[in-house]
Amino acid sequence: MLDGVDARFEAGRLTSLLGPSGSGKTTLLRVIGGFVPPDAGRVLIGSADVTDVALWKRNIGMVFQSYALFPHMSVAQNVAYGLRRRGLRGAAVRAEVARALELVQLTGFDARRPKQLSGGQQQRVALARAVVTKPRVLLLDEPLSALDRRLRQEMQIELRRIQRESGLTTVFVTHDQEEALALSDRVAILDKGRILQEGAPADIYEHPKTVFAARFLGDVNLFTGPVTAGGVEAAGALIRTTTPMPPRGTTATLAVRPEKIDLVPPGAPVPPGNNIEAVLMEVVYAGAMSTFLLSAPGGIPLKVFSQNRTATHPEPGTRLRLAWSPEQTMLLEA
Amino acid sequence: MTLAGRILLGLVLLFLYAPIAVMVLMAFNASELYSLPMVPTLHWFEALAGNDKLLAASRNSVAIALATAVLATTLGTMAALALSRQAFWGRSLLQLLLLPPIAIPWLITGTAMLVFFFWTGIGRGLHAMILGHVALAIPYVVLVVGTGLRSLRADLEEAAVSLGSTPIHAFFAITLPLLAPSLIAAALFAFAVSLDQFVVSYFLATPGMSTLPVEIYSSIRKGFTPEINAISTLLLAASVGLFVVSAILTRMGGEPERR
Repeated sequence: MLDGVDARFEAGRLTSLLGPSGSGKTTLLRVIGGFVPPDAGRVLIGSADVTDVALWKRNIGMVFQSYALFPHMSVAQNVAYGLRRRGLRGAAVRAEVARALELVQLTGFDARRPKQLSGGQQQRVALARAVVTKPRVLLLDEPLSALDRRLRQEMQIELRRIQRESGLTTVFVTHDQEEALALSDRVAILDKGRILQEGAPADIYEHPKTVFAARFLGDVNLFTGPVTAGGVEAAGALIRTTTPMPPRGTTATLAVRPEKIDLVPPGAPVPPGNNIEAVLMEVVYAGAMSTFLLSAPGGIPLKVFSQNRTATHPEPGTRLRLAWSPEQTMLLEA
Repeated sequence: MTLAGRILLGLVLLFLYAPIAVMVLMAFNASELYSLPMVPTLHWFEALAGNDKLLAASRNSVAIALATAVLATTLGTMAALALSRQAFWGRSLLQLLLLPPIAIPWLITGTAMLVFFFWTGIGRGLHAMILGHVALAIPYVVLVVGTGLRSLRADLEEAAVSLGSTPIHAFFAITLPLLAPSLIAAALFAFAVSLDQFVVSYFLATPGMSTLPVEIYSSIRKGFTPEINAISTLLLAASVGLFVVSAILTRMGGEPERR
């Protein structure tokens, strides 16, 4: 599943492992946690080599996709489990449990059973149980995927707050790029058992290295064509970028995010930078924003996001001029 | 439900329960020849207390059933755990081989056991009956416990281990308590399979060492007395009781986890 992964997770930071299913992100998480041994290579936490340390001695906190709360125990007993395994008893346990439940805003839920809680509440208990032991690493395996969209967004903010307050080094597995971008200090993109790219969210969104990374992080318009003087010939125009180009005569792919493109009103002066003409195929109205689907010369499909400052839209079939800056144009490896 | 449906259901239930009801009634009827009107009595139950043969056979039956419940539940649970949690060569084949014994007629199983036990020198008697009953009960235990295990998420144990439990501690602290209803249901099943077992017991019993069903059968051949109705009524009450308890426990164990 994994293929020569070499990754560092910064202390006290939240790093997301982002990838499609089967990319090896969960396997990597399970190797870090010690749930499965690596076939080759070492796992270090701080300066300590933990490759051969058993899972139960590794002092990690894990939040499972299914929460994995113990159904025969109360909320307090669930949270106390790790503390009791570490030999704590009585008042010390009660104080720590109360603090952890306060952190996840579930004070007063001590005596409830997991079955009596909503999905979001179970999620919080799982989180409290994982952080209460002050683990060296907190591992989260798609913890929000079972929640509905609204609750998920609330829990993202909660999770961020809890991670900051606890200061735990956190590794978060997700296949949801918005979640990864919103939550993380660092994002690592995985595909086919390899880490393709790693960096701060804005960095990897604005400067993806490959077509796969660019597509996985959001919508992108691609222009593939021969390299000529200063740009790539595609969609009936010469598209430029500020990034150094490969030699003339080769083929290259340039890309631009849909929100970076301006729709130039008919009759307005053509702005400098990249601009092409395209036929509007469809407008997808979504309240605050609309998505324009267009077709550029050569049948290249394009997507443009536009804030709905006015309520009027051009009709499908209209020819529109699209403009964007060469600085926003990304050179991608295939 | 339509009227015709109700009548049909009533007839089916009558068909199922009428003979049993008659037997239970006659256990409380004074007349040895089942003549009506019924004169209620506990005479046949009292007579039972003096019937050493039937009482000894009852004790054997309960002892064998208890031993079967303990042994079959332990072995069957271990098998179910291995089949559901471990990946090993030939697992699907083993899983497949566990089921046919349920379908094989007991007459054939019993004959096979008799031949096999004779050939290996195990012979007949109490130990042979326990062996035979355990073998009969194990597939049921594997089925019941296996179903319980399937409703138990494997990541619960992983969660416990990540929190500092050794795998063995996690099994006893998490899996076993959650599996308890299935284990009790499986044990009751094994107990019932053994208690009701006639064919295999008949083949493996010796003159001094038989079980209640075997003894009832030989009594009937000698001549029917209402004592048989009395002991059958007691046996029936025990079986129904066990069945009810196991049904309740199985449902408790199978209750799905809400998310």
